[in-house]
Amino acid sequence: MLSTALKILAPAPNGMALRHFSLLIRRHHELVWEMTRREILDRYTGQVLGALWAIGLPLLSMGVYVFAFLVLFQGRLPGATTSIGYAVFMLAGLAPWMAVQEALGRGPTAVSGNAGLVKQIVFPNEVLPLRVAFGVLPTLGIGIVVVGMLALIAGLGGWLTVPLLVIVIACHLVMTVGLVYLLAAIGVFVRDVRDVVTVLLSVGMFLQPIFYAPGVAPRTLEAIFYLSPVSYLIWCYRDALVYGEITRPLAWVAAPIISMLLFLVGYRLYRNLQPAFGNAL
Amino acid sequence: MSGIAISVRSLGKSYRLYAHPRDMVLEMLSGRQRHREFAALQDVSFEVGHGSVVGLMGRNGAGKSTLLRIIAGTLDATAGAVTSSGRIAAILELGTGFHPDYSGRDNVYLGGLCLGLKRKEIDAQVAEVIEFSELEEFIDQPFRTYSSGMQARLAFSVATCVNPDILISDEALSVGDARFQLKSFDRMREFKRRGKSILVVSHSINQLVSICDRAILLDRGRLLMDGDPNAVGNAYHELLFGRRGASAAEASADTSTVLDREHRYGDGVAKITDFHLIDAEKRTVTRLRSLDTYTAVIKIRATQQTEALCAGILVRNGRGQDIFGTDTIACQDLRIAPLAPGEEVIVYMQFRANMAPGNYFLTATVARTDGTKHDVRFDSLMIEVEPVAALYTDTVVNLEPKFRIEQRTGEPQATMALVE
Repeated sequence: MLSTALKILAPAPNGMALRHFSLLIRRHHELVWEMTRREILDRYTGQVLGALWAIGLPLLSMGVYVFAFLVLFQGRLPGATTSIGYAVFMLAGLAPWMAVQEALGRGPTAVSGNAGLVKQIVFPNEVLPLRVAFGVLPTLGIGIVVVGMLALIAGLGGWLTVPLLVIVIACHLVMTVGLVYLLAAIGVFVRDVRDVVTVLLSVGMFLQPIFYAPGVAPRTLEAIFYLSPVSYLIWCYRDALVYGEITRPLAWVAAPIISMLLFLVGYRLYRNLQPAFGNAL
Repeated sequence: MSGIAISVRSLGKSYRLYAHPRDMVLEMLSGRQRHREFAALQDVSFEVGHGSVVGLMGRNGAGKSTLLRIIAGTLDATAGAVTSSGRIAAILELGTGFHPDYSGRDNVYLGGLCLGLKRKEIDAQVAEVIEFSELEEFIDQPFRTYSSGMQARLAFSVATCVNPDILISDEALSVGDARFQLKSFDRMREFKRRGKSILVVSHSINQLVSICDRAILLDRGRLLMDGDPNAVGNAYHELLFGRRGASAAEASADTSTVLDREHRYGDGVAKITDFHLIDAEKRTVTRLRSLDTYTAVIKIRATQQTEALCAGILVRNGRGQDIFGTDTIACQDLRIAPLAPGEEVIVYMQFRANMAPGNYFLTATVARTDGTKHDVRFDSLMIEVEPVAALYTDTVVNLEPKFRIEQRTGEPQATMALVE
């Protein structure tokens, strides 16, 4: 156990991984950009509304949840008379979760779904998970814009909102990239991962601090929140968008550390398994 | 430029074959072996120098593609090492690196970016790539609408326009039409002149012999031969169709291609027990040199008492056209005297191989003089006639040409004389 922890935390391989990654980005940023652009546009090619779905879909699903939790369940923040506060509170958690969900759902097939490319072309296939990870940017962006506007209307947030938001989005992306690398690498060898992830994501939605107004969630569930790395992101998003100040210092310390760790673990595992991809595809 | 572009040292690749995907996980968890090892490559070593074109030959499953993929870096080796210097462009399996739904032009960009070019560099070259592929008309159509030949053309154009130091091509040339093949050859020669290295797989011995400086023959994951393309081509042909060499088991596997193709019929009163060609030194051959003299040997054994017999031979080319046929009676009014059961006779037909380079299928027959067929072994033997530099590629026969040029130096009188 301890030796595994030491192996993961050893500075030398992690430094190498970081250096390799920054070299990859520097050399192939155009390819990453082109692939991400394609990923976003292609998802909806052949559909009548085309790329409009990239905007419409997240809006639509946010609308559904708002309807369910605000109108049907009458969600309110404690002490509030209107529900807009709760709407901002909930959506501040839901929007990043949707982005995580999308990325992790596609993660396991990021490489295995492109067997042709990986097997036949001499190219850095590390860009494939990146394209999936960055492909969720429209979803995340729209979510944040919507929540931000609602927060403005509700008079929530504060002068710290924007800088805090920048930090948490950075953490979010780093974590997503790491998790997608992890899933993509495993997904090449164990195809079942895809279905496992699908199940975990649909259950996981209720194990994150998304819908529960402060003090509503049962104790045990509160404890479970701490086990999910995404919870810390959600708390940070909420601090930025709803409160405009740091109310959960623990989350702000934990989010960058966990993100970085997940990135390093994911990227290193990917790099270790990468030479064997050709055998399994 | 001289020196080594690719160096392969005692390379080995073995695959772990699992009966079921879950066996892999179980093996990892339990530590007990649940796989079978399959050696795709064993102890392969060779070097490719700058400015040389090396051809890889071998039967299906010999390990050619595995070797190319390891050199290209899309597959890992289990033993040994490969080192290469410079940018590698590979055409491994045609078109599969391209996205079927993108247009040809988009694929050029994406392909170029994948090969490590900058967008600006591609901007500068895209016109040339498209021009070389001759797909101007279709370049904005989705890639999936292209014919396989067109896909090959685009893949080849992209791979060669990115100015790689090493070009690896797996049967890329066999798909394009003859005109594009010629163009590709020219481009490869130009590559060679600029000191680039090319490693190419093809099943066409003729093609390899005409462009390669050197050839390597792989069989069952081992390097059998490395040297002059013509010699290696001969060995490869022997391996494919030969009846000698290797072990008995291997030989029977080798000839299966021929036997599969052979169509045998007849009433079996007499049987052709052996049919092969020998050269002047009485060696069995399947690869002939145009214009040399060879002898076809037909061994016939009677199973019952026969009447007088006649033996015949038919030669068909690769396209299935009969190009030559005769028999003992038609040719020389020769009859085989009636045979007793178990009696054997050997018929020899000497001929000069006036065929042009290419593949030919030989049929042997034994029949009664009234035409009743006892045994017909249709397309029983495949032979190949070696390339001859002197002939055009689509030539069918070799007319043994001898040119003579007679210079007429300004003799107006001669013309005058004719008029008179």
